[in-house]
Amino acid sequence: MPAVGDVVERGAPARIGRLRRWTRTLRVAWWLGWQVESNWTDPLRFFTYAVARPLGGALILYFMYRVVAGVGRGAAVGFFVIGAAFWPLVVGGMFGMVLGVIGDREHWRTLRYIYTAPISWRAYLIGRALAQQTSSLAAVPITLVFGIFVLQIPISPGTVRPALLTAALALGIVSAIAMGTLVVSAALSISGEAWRMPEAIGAALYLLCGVIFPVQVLPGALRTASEAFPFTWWLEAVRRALLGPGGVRSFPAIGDGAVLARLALLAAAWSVAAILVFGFAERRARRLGILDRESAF
Amino acid sequence: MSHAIEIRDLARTYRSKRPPRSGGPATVVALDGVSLDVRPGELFGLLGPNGAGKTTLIKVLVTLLLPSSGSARVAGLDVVADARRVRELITMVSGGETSGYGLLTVREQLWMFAQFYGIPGRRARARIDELLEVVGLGEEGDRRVSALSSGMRQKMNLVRGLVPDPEILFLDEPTVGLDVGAAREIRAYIKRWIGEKPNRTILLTTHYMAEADDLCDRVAIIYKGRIIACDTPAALRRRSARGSRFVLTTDPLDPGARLGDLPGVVGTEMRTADGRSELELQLADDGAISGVVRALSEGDRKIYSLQKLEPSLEDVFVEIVGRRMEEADEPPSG
Ligand SMILES: Nc1ncnc2c1ncn2[C@@H]1O[C@H](COP(=O)(O)OP(=O)(O)O)[C@@H](O)[C@H]1O
Ligand SMILES: [Mg+2]
Repeated sequence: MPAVGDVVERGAPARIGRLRRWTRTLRVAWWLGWQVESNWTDPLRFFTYAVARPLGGALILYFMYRVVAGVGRGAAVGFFVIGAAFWPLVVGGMFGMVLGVIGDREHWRTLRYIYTAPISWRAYLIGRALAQQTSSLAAVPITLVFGIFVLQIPISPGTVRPALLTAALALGIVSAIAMGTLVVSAALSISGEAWRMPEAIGAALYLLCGVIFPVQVLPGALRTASEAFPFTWWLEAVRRALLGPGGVRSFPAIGDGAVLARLALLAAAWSVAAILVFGFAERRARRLGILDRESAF
Repeated sequence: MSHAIEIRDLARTYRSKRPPRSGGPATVVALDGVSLDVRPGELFGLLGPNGAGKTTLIKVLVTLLLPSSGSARVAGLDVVADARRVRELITMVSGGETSGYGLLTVREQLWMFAQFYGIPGRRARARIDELLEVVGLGEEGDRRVSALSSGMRQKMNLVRGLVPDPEILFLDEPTVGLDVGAAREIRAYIKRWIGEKPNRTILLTTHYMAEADDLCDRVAIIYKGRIIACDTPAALRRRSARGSRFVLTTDPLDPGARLGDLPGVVGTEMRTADGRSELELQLADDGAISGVVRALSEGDRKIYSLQKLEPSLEDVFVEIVGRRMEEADEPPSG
């Protein structure tokens, strides 16, 4: 009877088996995503994409601020350096997920084998997203150190609040994955064009969510929209966690706890929406027979 | 569980790829009421021309595609309601595609899939090495997938399907596009694999008559989404009611030679080349060949070869559909 024993989970209690399978899938997908990521990122390319890009963005903004607004250093610079340092986590989360579907479907042609494996496809896609976010996260300290020592943004042991930072980071990662799940749901229905969605949506959110300027400067309607996205609150929380009370705020009237609460609430709401939409998109794709369809490039 | 696979009135339509405006229909019927049973331990073949619906049927069975109507059970489990549990018991391998994470090594890629099936690391590695050896990829384990030839990739893909030791293995045209040698190796391994343990089941699709004939315990011929015949290859061949056929080569005959008038000769076809005539004879029964041989020797014609043509699955197909299988291929849609 070796055939039965070969798949260990068959005998295990269902719930433990399922949880273990979920985390194992997450881990293996993360590993795969990391291989995909580090393949085209030999150290130089990793540096170019993960470090030089956010850093360059921050520098451009720095000079613009200096020339236009005469703001040289300090609090205002801290605002957008932190925005530029952390924003890649959002784009990375979306991009990792899209790679997990479109890359598997059209480039590696493995989607049908991944999909018919006894795994949670969601865990797999989340693992792929986390892999991208890991590399985005790895670049954050580099940008921040540069900001602290060269641009003299006021981050010091006294201003950093680790608990708030950790909570905010976790919720930001969840939110980015929820957004990625929505993008991927679209990718299941439309064709290869979904490649460009993370960049496009990322760019729109970049302007909307207060990455480089406080959201108060937005016109009324956009400001309301901005407040519906978790990323607005996420960046606000991260800034407060790093810059302390001296930093520039998007929502000066709202306390730290309330900012974190809104972030948590929106992260949860977007996650629920993402799960529902994804479930619908997956069923629809299986029904229409387009799950493993390759778009004609 | 009495059947490994149980298919009842399965139908599947697609939205047409070509829009109806261009004159085509709005939907394509890929499966049109298929019912089939595959027994545990069987190597079951689904034979049909391109576009017959073979891949569609496999996709439904491996939970990639929902049926439009009807039902299918794999290992006793419904492919729609119990998709998750079905996936634990099956794997699928499609030929004719270069699938695989090109940037991983062959071993890494196989290890990754083994993880998805919950096979402990050390056992997975041992089994991967063993299977790579068997399919002749023993030396390639540490090469990148992208560096493999398409034949090697197809073999690697087969190993991916075998590592989890599935109860039911789905092979969608496993040898398509391979050179003769590689195709033969894959066929030999498929035979060996199913023979190793009694309850392994394979559903294989192919549009190669010889492959179905050579490999399969039973064959269903599928055409335009319907099963038009299903039996053992031998029984299918016997069913072909075209009497008996012979080819013989002889000295050149005049086109006027009236062999067709001999008793028991139903039809003749003659080609003359290089100073020989090749004669294909359709006879009412085997015995009628002696009359032909006598007539030739009386006419002082030497006979250089004489061969009885066994009916093939091709004959069965021609009989039912009215044309040869290559002619029944659906033109590739653009
Ligand atoms: N995703 C799809 N959308 C529209 N038509 C399809 C799709 N997949 C297959 N078809 C059509 O369904 C029929 C059966 O296809 P398929 O199952 O691939 O046949 P086979 O594998 O026997 O070659 C063909 O007419 C094919 O063009
Ligand atoms: Mg096919």
